Amino acid sequence: MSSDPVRIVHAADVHLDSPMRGLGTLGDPDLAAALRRSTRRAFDALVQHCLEELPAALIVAGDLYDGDWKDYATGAHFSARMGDLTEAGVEVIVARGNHDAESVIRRAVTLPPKVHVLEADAPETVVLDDIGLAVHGQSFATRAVLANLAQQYPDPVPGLCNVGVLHTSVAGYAGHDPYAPCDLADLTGRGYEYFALGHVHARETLAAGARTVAFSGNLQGRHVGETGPKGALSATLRAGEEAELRFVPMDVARWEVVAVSADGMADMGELLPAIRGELDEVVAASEGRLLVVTVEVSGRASFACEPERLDAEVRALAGQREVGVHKVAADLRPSLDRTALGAEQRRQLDAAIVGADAGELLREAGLPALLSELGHDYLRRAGLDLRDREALAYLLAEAASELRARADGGLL
Amino acid sequence: MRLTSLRLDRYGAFTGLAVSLGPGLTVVYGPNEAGKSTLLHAIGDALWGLVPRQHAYAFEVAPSRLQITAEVDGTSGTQAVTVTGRGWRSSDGAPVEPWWADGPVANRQAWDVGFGIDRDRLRDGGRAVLRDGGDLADLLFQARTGVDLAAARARLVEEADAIWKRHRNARNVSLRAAKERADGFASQLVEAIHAADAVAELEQELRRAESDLTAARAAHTRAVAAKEAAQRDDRAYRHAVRLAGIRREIGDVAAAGCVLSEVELSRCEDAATALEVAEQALQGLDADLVELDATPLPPPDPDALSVAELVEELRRGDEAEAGRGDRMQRLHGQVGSLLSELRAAAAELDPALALADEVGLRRAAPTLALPADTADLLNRLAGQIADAQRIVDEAAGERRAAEGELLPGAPAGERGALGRWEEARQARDRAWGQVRGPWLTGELPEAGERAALASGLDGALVATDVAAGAAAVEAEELVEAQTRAEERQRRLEAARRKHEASAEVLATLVERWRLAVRGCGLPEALDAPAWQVRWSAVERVSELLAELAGADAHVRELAGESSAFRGRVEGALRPLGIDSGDTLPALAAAYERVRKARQAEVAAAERDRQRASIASKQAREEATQKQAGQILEGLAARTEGDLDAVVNRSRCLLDLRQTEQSVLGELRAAAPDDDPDDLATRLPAVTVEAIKEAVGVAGDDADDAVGELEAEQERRANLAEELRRAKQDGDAAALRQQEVDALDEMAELARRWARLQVMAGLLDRVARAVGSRADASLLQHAGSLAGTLTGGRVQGLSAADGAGDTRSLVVHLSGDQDAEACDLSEGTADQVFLALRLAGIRQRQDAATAGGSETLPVVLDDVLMAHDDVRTEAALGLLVEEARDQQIVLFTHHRAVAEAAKAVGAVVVSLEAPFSSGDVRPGSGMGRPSRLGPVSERAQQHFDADPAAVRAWARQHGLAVGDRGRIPGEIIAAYQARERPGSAAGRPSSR
Repeated sequence: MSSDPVRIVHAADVHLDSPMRGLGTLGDPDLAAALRRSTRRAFDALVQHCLEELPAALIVAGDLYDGDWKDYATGAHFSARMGDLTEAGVEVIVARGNHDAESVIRRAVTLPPKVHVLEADAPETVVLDDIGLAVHGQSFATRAVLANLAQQYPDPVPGLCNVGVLHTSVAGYAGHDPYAPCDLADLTGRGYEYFALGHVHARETLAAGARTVAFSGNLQGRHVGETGPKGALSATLRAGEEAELRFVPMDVARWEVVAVSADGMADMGELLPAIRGELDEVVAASEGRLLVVTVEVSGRASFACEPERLDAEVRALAGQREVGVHKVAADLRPSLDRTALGAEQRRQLDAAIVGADAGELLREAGLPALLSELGHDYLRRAGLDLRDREALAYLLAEAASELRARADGGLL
Repeated sequence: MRLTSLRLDRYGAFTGLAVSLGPGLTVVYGPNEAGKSTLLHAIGDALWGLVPRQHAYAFEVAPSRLQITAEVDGTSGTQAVTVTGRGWRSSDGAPVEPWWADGPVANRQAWDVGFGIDRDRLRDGGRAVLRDGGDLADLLFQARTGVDLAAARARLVEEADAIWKRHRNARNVSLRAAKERADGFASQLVEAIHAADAVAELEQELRRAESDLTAARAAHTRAVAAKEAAQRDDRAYRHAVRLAGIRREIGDVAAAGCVLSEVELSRCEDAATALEVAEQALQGLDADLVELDATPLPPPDPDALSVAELVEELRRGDEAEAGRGDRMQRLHGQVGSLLSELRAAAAELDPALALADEVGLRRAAPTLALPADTADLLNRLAGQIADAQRIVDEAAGERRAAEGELLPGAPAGERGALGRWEEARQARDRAWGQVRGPWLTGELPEAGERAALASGLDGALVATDVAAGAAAVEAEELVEAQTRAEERQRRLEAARRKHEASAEVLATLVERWRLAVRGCGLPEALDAPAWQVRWSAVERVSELLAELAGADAHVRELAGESSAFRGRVEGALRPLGIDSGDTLPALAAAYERVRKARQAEVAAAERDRQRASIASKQAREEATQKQAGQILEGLAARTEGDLDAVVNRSRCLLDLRQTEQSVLGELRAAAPDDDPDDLATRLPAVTVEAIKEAVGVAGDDADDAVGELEAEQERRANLAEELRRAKQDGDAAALRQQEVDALDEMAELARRWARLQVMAGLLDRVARAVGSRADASLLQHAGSLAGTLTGGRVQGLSAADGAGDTRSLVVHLSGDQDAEACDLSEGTADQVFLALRLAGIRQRQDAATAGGSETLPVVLDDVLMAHDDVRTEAALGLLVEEARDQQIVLFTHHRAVAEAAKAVGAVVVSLEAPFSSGDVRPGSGMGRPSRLGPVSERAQQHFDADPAAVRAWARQHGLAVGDRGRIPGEIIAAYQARERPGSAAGRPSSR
């Protein structure tokens, strides 16, 4: 089977106008201000890309907006930009995800006629004969759709390029709410040339070949955990053939982790050039975008690292490169006989750390009162779950690392 | 390792301060500001590197130029090391690795905590003993590491508490503040978020508001128009009512009967006026005529007028006549005086005439004159005689002068010069003779005489020459004198001849004069000078005679003129009957009469002219009178005789119409847009009260309409603004970001709090873990040290089981007493802590040595402050011993400590104060030392026992001691204490 190729752009999880996390730790109000509206600027970049490349269709696989975000200006902006696209002849097909399922924006904002929002009651197929494209999909009716929607998707339309659209957590994808759960087989089994997925913010191609399945990832990293280039997938489709995928970065700001091993290093004089080298690499890769880094130094060095000094040095290095610093974390373990405590006492410290339970220590320190005062859910929304076992383990590791650093440096 | 010397090349206020440190204990003494802190810091820099950035002692030189030179004595020998911001270098410039940094600690901070004890740490440590004696673990941990775990834990908890604290009233904790901020942003966000349906509602509301606004605008326009109409009615009312009244009157008058047109009325009135004016004018003219005739005219004088012109002419000549009289009088006077002069002049020539009368004088005087040629001759001769006489006088003078020159003669010059020349010649010849004689005989005289002869001859020759010159001059002078005398003689002769010649000329002239005088008949005695006097008198007489003749002629002329004038006057006055005896007054009277006659003539002519004028005017007025009368008669005929009533009615009507126009103008001004006729018919039908009421009502309506319009406008503007804000981009998203930022901050703070609490908890676990075993050897060593430090008050330290799984410190005191740490005095607690720390440091140094590393210098800063003299001495002795195998540097500002240190054999480095106490410079801001006396003094080692004896003693007591090298401090201490009563002798530690 051969036909003219159909080119589509697949984006998801735009989260238009939703805020960035972790700007407060940058210590740089100008940078924070520049980062603030980056989701919208990334969305504008997506539209601009479509206007320049003129794909047959733009497919948004859910979470255009945050549902609890009813600002008129956001909807008006979206509507205006979509109008630009449809005027340029680009079909726009939008599936609603968990975040914009209950959005009221659609009700009040008149979208241009060519913007097609997929039905939420049942799977729907949009057939664009003149393009040679059939798009199958279903929006979220409610925030938490726990049914396997993919199983109900229709069969492909013969002779056309078939594209499935779904906001889903494939096979309970780690770290994401298990909405519209399905297995990869459910997707590949539909027989579509391409399945455009949303919900998981990391870009990933789950299946290649004639039944390609991919998360485009979100358009713009919104916090320290969403590292690396972010953007959309440009897919060139031919009926019955493997989709050609090309990643197009749309992000205007980037979060990166600069990890440096200090193994065997004797002093800061060796460590700093290593950090500088890593930093320069991510700066070069960011191609002039706003950049925020988390610097993680680890390893067994023969010197005790003073955290404040390291922090200041790293921020100075980053400042010279106009790079924001989210955090500088160092976990250096100097050889035991050279710590301020002395080897025996240092071993005692390590022994105390091993087997400690952060949860228990915190309970003794009054954590329940703190959580009840501030609200556990409130803190969780801010990204801190002090009841989570893993989070507590991480907390213990961080505390131990800092305590060791202090002790080794004679700073207790 | 040890720092055996330290030189601050460029450091703080110092350039080249050199300090030698002892191998064992060094006490650095100096008062405040002497540089102890600088030195202490420099030791740290020398050991751990000099970090130039923001260096505290880079105030004299740039940080990059700071430099210290240290001599380092280590296991591998001694090396001089220069320390700068670029690291350590040997004296030849090669980089030096600080090998000691591989020792017990890796950095300066750790060394400072582990190997440094200062006064504050000592105090804190003393308190820790009192506090933690019950929990030995912490204390031992601190003894070994310098780290007070409990304090460290407390600091962590304090830091955590600043973030969050359980008590609700601790509102200023930062986590709570962050939560409040986040909540604040969240509530602001609720305000700022403008949901899309709200926008739609607003839009609908705005449309309604705009419709309402349009309606309000229309109502407002109507109300304003009504108000303006009512106001116009109000303004026009008075005028409209008046206009209606006037128009009514006009109708009434017009209905009363015949009226004249405006032109007719005007002609009628003009004619009546003209008639009246003409009558009055005629009456006035009649009166003028009567008045004219009542005034009399002066009578005419034809006689006077007949001679009037002549009289007037003569009258113009009367002044000339008066002048003539005056001039004749003056001429008579002149003639008189001329006669008097003539008489005087004539009398000079003929004295008889002095008494002659006028007639005689006039006759005689002309005879006195001489013929002109005679007078000329005489005058010429007299002049020649005078000239000749003058020449004679001059010649006589010249002759007298020549005689005067000659008579005294020239004094004859003395003949002396020739004589003297002769004498000189003789003298010369004598002298020559005196010379020539011997010369001819050849008898030469004596040399002296010969010279005298020569001299004499020379003198005589010179004198002869001089005398010869003088004689020559004298001869010349004589010749000149002769010549002069002859010249004078000639001049005298010439003068005499001239005198005689002129005298002859004079005589001739005088003779001729005599002949002339005689020929003229003049007295012969009359000489020439007398003639000249007489001649001037003659000339005067001639002049006067001529003048007199002129005056006489003038008098005669005037008399003639006067006579003619009088004759004409007489002729003129005759017809007037005026006596012309006295000519001039008569002429004046005649003239007056002529003048009056002339005036009468003019008055009569004027009267005739006036009469003619009046008659002309009368004729004119009578014509006017007639014309007006005809007009009025015409009108009267037309109006059937009732002309006055018709005229009055016409006049009244005319006035009314004028008033109507004026009122109409006012009405138009009051209501320009309305039809005045309409107003004049409409308004009088309503009352003024009704009009006023209508104005009030319309005004209220208009005000209401304005209020409604404004309210609608405001409502619309508010809605528009609300809608604009609702549609506006940015505020809400920014607020949301701020909320998230605040949430992030909150989470970060909570995370930090949790981490600090976990760290604190971990330290707690460490303390518990450490506390599970006591270090007996450390306690034993510390007990021994404490014994020394307390002068035997403390006799030992040990551990006892405490509460739970803890152990506590037991202090064995003298007198077999045991005490718990918390029962100690502060001073003793401090000393126990110092002992524990020194024992802990010793352990670490020993471990380092055992591990093949270097020991590190120990720095004690002012730790003996609470020791009395006895304990100070004991402590110093102990430190000397402790410093045998490690370097200890003690800083103090107590002179007594330095003195005591010398006494116990420590090396004392004395830093002088920059200024003596009496030399404090007021106002000087200098707090840094500017001068320093580098005094290094190596005192005699106190420990002077023979090491061999100590070793022998130690072995004898079963203590491990090597054959060479360091003898452990405890052994030395035990050795020294062996003879002290009550000491720990015999119980040396066996490590």
